[in-house]
Amino acid sequence: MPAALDLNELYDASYRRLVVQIYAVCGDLAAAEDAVQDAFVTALRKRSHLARVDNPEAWVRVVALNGVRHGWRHASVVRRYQAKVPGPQGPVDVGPEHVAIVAALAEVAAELREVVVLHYLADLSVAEIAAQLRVPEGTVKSRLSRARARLAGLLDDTEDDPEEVRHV
Amino acid sequence: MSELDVLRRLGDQIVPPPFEALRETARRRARRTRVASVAAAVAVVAATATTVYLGRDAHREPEPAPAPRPPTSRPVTYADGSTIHYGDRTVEAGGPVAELDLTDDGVGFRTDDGRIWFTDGSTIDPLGAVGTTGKGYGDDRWPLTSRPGWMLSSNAGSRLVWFEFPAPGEPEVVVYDTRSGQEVARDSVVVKPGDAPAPALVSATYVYWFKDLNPDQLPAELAQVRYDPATREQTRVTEADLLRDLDDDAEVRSIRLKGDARGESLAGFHYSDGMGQQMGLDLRKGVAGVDGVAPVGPGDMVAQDVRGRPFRFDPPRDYTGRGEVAWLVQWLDADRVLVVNPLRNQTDLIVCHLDTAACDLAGTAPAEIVVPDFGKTQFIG
Repeated sequence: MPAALDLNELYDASYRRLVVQIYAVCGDLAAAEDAVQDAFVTALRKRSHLARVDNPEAWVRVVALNGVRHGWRHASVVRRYQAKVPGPQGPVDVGPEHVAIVAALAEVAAELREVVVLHYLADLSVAEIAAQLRVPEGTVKSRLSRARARLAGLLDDTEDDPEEVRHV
Repeated sequence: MSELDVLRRLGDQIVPPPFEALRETARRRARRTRVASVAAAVAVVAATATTVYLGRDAHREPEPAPAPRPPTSRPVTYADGSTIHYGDRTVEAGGPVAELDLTDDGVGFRTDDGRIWFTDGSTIDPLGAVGTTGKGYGDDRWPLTSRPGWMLSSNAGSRLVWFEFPAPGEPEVVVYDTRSGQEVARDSVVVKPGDAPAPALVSATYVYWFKDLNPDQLPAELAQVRYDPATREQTRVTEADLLRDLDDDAEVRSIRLKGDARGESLAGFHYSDGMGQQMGLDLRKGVAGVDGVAPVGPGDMVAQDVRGRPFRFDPPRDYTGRGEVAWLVQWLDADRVLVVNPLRNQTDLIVCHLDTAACDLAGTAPAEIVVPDFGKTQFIG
């Protein structure tokens, strides 16, 4: 953890990959951008707290995930009252290959989908996912296994993952 | 799972919005909870705060408290460039207006050259000048949830407060009664070397200022000093002190708040004088109000006046303003508030009634006007 957290630098470095990760979870690119921007707005407002966090990017990701996980119930109300974040800055060409993957992910239960995204897109280890989600590592491995099994029928690629294979 | 790598490449197409835009969003969101944050403020440092200073001019006789009078109404007020619109009257200031605040008697305003004035709608009286502030006072020094500004006024009455700097880094607090046209108090602000104090809040009894500006912290994390114009006492205040003060000062045109958007709900209602309560109101979607919820955490916010009337309004009939967020900026009287809706090419002025929840479009103004307690409006839809 750096002594002085540079949120601007963190934003530049992590915004795109965080949006992609959240997009994979929620299946809506605009909502993913909203969630990540909201998370950075929260980070700005909780700067002193964030300065004490070991991994600020993980913290922002958790806030964004919380946003898409719990936020829908309140979304319309929040939008009614909150100052708006800037929103998508330009058209993004979401091709059919993207849609297919996201559609497949949407077929997987949310708790499994999060684990897959954190593991394969955020490149977190099983231990890191367990810590972030506050679940046992065995649970993470189990969810990964189930997610892969579910996705195997939806995606062509069934390439094995060494860490997971060891567990399975 | 190499298919997921395709998604990674999608990230190359994504253009992040400017970080400064998010910073501005954070500021705007926080504005609606400014007083809530302030009331919950001073939490860490001030927990052990004690009285640190007795005004140096303590031998002066305290000014007698002004005689109470029935609350009056205040007309819709804003500035467009150097023109101040005060109800149906217009006043030409000597330069662009940077900041304005209302009392029951007229408009206090600061022009962009730092001079401070008061107008009753017909004549303009010079009151003072901010002066050269010194180091530590750039616009980017204010706490995240606040706006740069040197003036304060309460929602009812005649008290106008501002800071002046006879010498850089040596501010004075000035308390002025716009009814009598007299200074009630003027005292040097006790400044610890390296600190940069600035006005924070005014109530019917006290003036509060941040002990030291810090743009990396919320007002809730900053120590504050309470100044009593009657005794000249400057006191570091605790959160409990501040809550008690606001409760004691609660009156017509106060706002009761519960919860805030910081993710930590407050247990019960507390009062504020309403200063800084610029609340996002989406008139386009069929309702306007501040019974909003925090985006993260349990910090649901409830706002109502002292009689329990919620700040939840019906938009004007057939209203089609396309702005995304509007702002509560002014009490007109005990029942009516002014909401401004900044649109791309104009600013709609909407009057809402607490008794009936009805709103009416009272008029339009140019885009980017200066409104009380808020500063320059900006379209962010």
